[in-house]
Amino acid sequence: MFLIPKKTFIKFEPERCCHVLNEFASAEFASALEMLFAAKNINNNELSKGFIRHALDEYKHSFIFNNIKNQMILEYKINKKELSFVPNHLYNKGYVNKDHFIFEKKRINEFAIFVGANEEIAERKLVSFANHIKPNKSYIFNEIEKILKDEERHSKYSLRFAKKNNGLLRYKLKITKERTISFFRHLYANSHNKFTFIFYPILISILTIMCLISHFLELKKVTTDDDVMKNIEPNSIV
Amino acid sequence: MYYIGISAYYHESSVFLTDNAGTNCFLKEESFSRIKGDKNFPRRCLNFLIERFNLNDNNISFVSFYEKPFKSWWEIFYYSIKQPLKNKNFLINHLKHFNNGSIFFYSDLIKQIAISKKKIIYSSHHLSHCLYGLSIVENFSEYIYLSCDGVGEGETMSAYTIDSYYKIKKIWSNLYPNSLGLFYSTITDFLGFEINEGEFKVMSLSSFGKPKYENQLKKIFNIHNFKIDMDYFEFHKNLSRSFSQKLCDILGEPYLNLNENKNFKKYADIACSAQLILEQAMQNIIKEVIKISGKKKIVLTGGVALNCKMVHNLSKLNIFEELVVPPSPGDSGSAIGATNFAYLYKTKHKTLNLNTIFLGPKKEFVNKKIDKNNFFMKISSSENFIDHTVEKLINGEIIASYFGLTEVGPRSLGNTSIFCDAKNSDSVNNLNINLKKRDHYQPLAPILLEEDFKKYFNINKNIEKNLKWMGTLCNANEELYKEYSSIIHIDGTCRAQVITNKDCLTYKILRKLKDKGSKILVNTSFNISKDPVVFDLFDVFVNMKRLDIKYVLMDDGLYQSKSL
Repeated sequence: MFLIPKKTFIKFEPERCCHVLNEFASAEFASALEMLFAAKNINNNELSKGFIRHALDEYKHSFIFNNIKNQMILEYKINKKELSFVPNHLYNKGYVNKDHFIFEKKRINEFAIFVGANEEIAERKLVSFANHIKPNKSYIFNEIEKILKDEERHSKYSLRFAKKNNGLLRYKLKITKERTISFFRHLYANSHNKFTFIFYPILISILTIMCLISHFLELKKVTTDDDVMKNIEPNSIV
Repeated sequence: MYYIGISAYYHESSVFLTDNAGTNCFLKEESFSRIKGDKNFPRRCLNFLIERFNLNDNNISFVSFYEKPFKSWWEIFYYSIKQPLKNKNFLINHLKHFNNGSIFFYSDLIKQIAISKKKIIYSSHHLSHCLYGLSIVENFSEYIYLSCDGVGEGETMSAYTIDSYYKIKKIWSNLYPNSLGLFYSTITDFLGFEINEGEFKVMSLSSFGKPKYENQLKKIFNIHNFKIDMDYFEFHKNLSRSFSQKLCDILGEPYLNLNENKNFKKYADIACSAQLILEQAMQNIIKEVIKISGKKKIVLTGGVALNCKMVHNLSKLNIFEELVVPPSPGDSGSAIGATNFAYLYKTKHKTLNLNTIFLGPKKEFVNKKIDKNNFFMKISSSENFIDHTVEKLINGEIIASYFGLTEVGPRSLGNTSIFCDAKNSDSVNNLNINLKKRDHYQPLAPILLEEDFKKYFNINKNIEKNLKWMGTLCNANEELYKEYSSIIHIDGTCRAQVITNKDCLTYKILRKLKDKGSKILVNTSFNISKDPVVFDLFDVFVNMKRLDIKYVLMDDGLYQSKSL
């Protein structure tokens, strides 16, 4: 989850653009995974096919963002390893919850609202990024425009489905709730690192205590063992 | 009664279930989450097993975890805390992630299945590797079980022997931070590849270079006493990179772009030098354990064993009678070792009798609830689908395979693969570069019948067994250059796989292909770069669309994907 802070993102900085593109690629990839999971678990063939179509679009978008990023890396000779897209980082970055997919926690109507609301947010961010990059990189702007059309379609389809199945009043309430939650979730994700200093003194205190303990510990290192199965304690974690 | 082994939290998570009476099911969490190298607790694998095998406290004999969780966490912490100020960031991060690690294995497990505490047992990291290795060899007491990886419970390499009464002896070990695995992964990091994922790229790249940095790297890793000079490394203190400025001083700038010719050449030289150090060190380790044990046959496990170039080059030295690397020597295969540990613990004098390397579930078992007609249409009858498939291959078509039992290791062995005719260089290049999006320096692997192997390849007898699961490289003969040059790596080697089982579909395809004038297929795993191999029919369909592959070969016929 990420925001593009407008105040600091005024001048065209290729490296920073690559970071943003990497985040977009991760978000799209995570969205593809969510859709694929939904496709596998919904008991409705037509909806399942719809989710697959959506997943294929998201995979394609992720690929396009990565491609643009790689082109920029080459063009501006940026040597930053953290710019490589690593699927396993989706967990650390918070794009996918390690305990569940969204479809496991929400009913189809709520899921449609969630998708619709978040596609809208993604669309807005993408528009803001595309406009930022347009004066310097028009070919990237054209690529992003194609993605924007897909995002718009996804959002419309999801929200139309949600409207139809929830009723207008419930839909309005739920979409407002989802937009508010999404706003705070993004805000939290962006501020997360800024607040970790609160726990710092606690961690330093634990570390100091453990440092003292380990100073007096003389652990014996065993490099051979004559009967491993006899000497191992199967129920112990130590 | 079922025995379950679990490997998780560090490398790709996996679960293995067996009743040792023919029911085996090996699963990886990445197959369900679709995130390659997923290392979280394998919740989805377990749920799948609970549902399909109706698992409960009554039909589970033991659940065994592949290592001692606290020991694993503590040993790394204990090393770094000796210099708390220098290693402060690493230590704080280690503490912060205390609750995400394997120490909470028990609570993660009982959230999924109510099982009595006494049935949950813990093996030891390298012992699990050793016990997996044991399950793939006959006459197990003749072997030394050598395990070599990054680190596990404070050990980086260890060697075991087992007598015919199943008494296991640990005869040698090397301790953290002196790790051959961490040395190689640090070079992987330096060259800009992801650790635990890019090592195979370093291996491929090494064939393009010369060992110009051999002497410099020998100062960093001592190939005689297997100690590393920690001044060059930062994996014990730095969260973002594993090497220090001192390494940059001797090797130059890290993370350069490989697409530029001069960078490629330089990095190939570094990769080549690191590969050489790895091989020389492993040679000395093997000599050492042979000297201690008096045995001359080796089973090599741990992540380092995945380096098939090393296996091939070691075989030329004639220092052992046999070297076997199991199909999944890394941590995910340790789930099988952990299961073997549980079985040995229970029976005292028996280990699992697995009989096959294909320990994953049957495709039809995975797709019980999915109607394949939703996504695919059969394009040839059950009688002539092999002819039809071969015809398409000969005509340059790229065909996916999805049949039989699922493979265990990182390499697809034909059952979940993508094939094309190795004679057709356009198809080979299209598959490698356009479809799979692999780098130009990574070759594709050939698959052929055992009877044709000697005509096209040669290999030392002492590593021959590994050919069944792509565990080693072999040399290309002149005949191969004449007919199948597009599959040969720059150093004249190939990672070939031979098929011996006459009942399997791949055998039948290759036999028919031979009648049509071609004897070798290219075999690559059925996935896209950075994605796990396909697991169910949904994945097959989605990946066929993403890769733009039209046809897929299944147990009962050749299918074409429908449009949505």
